[in-house]
Amino acid sequence: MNPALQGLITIIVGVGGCVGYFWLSNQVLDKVLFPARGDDAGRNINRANQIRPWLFLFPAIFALGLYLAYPVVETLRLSLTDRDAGGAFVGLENYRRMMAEDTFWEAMRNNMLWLIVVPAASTAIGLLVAQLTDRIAWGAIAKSLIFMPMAISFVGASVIFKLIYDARPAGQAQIGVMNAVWLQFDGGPMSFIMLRLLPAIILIAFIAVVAYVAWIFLKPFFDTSLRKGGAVIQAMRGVFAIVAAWLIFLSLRSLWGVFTITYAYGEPQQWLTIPFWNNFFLMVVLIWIQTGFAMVILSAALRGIPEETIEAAIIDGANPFQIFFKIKVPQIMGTIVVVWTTITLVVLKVFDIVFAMTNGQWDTQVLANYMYDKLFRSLDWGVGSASAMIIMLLVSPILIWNVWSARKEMK
Amino acid sequence: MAKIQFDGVGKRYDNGAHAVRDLNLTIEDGEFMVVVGPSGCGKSTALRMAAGLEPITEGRLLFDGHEVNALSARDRDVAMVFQNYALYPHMTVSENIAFPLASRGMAKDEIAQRVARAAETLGLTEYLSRRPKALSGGQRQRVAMGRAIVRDPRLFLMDEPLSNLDAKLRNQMRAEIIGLQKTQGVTTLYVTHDQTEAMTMGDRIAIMRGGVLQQAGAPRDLYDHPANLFVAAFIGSPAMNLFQADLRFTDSGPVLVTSGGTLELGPGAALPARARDHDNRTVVVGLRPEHLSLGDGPGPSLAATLTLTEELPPEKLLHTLITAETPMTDQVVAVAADVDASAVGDLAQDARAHRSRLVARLPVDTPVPASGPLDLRFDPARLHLFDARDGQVIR
Repeated sequence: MNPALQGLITIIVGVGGCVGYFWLSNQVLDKVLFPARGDDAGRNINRANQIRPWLFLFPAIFALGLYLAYPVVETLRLSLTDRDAGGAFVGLENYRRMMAEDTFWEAMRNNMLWLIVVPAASTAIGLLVAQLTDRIAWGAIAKSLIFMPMAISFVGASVIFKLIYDARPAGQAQIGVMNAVWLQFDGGPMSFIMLRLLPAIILIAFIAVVAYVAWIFLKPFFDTSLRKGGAVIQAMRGVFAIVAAWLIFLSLRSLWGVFTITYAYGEPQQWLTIPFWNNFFLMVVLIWIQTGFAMVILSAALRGIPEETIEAAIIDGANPFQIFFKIKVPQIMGTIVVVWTTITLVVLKVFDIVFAMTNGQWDTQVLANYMYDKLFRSLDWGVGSASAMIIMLLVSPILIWNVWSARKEMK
Repeated sequence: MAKIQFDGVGKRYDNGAHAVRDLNLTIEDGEFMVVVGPSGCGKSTALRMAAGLEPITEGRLLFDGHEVNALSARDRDVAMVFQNYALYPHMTVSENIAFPLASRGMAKDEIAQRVARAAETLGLTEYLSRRPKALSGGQRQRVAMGRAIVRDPRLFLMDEPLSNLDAKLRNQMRAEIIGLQKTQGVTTLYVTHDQTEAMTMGDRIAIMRGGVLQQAGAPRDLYDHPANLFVAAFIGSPAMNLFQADLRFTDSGPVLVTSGGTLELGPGAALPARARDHDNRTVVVGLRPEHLSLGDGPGPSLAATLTLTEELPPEKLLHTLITAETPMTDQVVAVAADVDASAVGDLAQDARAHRSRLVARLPVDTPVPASGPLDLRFDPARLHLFDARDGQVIR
């Protein structure tokens, strides 16, 4: 049969099935179960109306249960069994084996890096672009250009960036932009500014931002008047503070490295094989894609800010930075949180980019790719399911936070 | 606190629209100046130019004799209350009030002190930790006022601050703002479209129309001596009665000839000095409703037909029609258009029927027939005469 015809039939059957379900079930409810006639007409109408919402909810609940809730339970079960032993229950053995693996911890570390860098960079750049493009005449064109990567699949974007990072032997023309630029550096003053001073400044700025955010999270522990939310929130604050401290330590170490490292001037680099930094080369792909999303949402939010509050702030003596950080950003904080968490969820599931560019080699493993390796390459359902459970555990607090802030917004 | 001078200030947009033309207005130190006019008259633009939110394209704006045209809004040291209050929704009341101080880098304990004082003045002390969302309209209005009075600005700017409140609250806040301004003694520029607000609040009033200042002066001055038809029609509620007549000077004194008859003003009628120049010309006659009376007293009388009586103790309003041409100058039409489009239609209908509406304001216990013909008397000394061609008062 012609695929187009098949598609058409599928649509007709699907939509018709939905319409048929709702119509028929309501007919049964109103005419057969609780008919609106006879002595009990009034009571029957009330009963029918109590049941009706469940009729409408049933298909969604059923589908979600079958394809979402059941797999979670089944994955949990599989993570506690051993395939080689014929599916025998082995308790937490799979988790123990997984934890003993270096690759798992490498994936965890990389995932944490992704989790912090990508949403932060995408949201920050998106916010900056949204703010700046509103003030220039060709802002609409700039916005479309920045939004365009959203239309490219992760794999397509990975292929594009593989070309950017490509290396040819020294002496040949470099087709990768990164190496073409790299070969321009010769160790002179410009190289010092671009490769030592600039990264150092960026690192110091990063340390400052992280320290500030950590301080915001820690403040309620010292100032009781700011203490809000339950124990879970407090625990999350603590976790964030520890992560921030770790980041600051890493940055300080890198700061030292930036000034002491010996650069290999004149030699084309295989960028994707440089441990640790290649993670960032992969992250750039996702940042490149997600910035457009953040920009569009935040741009709309910025436009929703009442103009008078900004004018009032100008008259109240605020400078442009104060207006941006104290008037505009707090007013769209709800949107920023939603954008951030949405990107976070994308990041935690990141698979295609790593799969297409390095396949987890050279210390770039992430959890989703690790899970794929275990489940479909090693055919080890136990450890594979265990890593899937870990991903779910990581996603859950962010989801809870998302729901919590969404509810707060609605109040 | 400062003396504010608009010296030939104008605002012309890039598309050529002229929002304000050649505005010359001085606001004395500590004075409460109300700028009033129909929507689109340029009053808000003038206010925003004073605030520094709109660049001034023509003329000079002086604060205490120093030109501030190039000074940015944040350096002008003005405070502004917006029509919809423009409170910062993410800040508590105390943070809102403290913001102008905090953004100027004042010490924390002094900020706290000043916020507490401002909150007490406005009765906001118990709401300091609330967000604007949790406040009533009147309380939000107060917070906006608090944000303005917390530092001692050189100039208060208020852009229709009462228009979002209901009538009862508006009267109360009106009195509060006047009291506040008097105790603070800060020069104030207050913009409104409501002439009652203007009359009750302002030390002086400036009336604008189409970007041009029509007249500035004390409220009584504008009421008693309007400079042109626009001011005459705009100030006063109910509005001044206007009808057209030909002014003639005869042997028995000046007379007004309307299409319905001749009004003898009497030999001793005290007409303005320049009235003679308008001999045999069409003028617009203006009469305040309270200057019309019933009965056999002295003075000329108008043959009117009573159409409606409104009782509003201690007075009653008689709505009547007389046979006289309705003036349809653009100034009169502009005032009517500010009320409602249908008011312009009524005016045009009257003009076609060669009649004019006359409202008389009498004590509520005056005996009046239910309807029918009436003789309305007036004192010729209370007449306002306007040139029918340019609408300027005849002095």
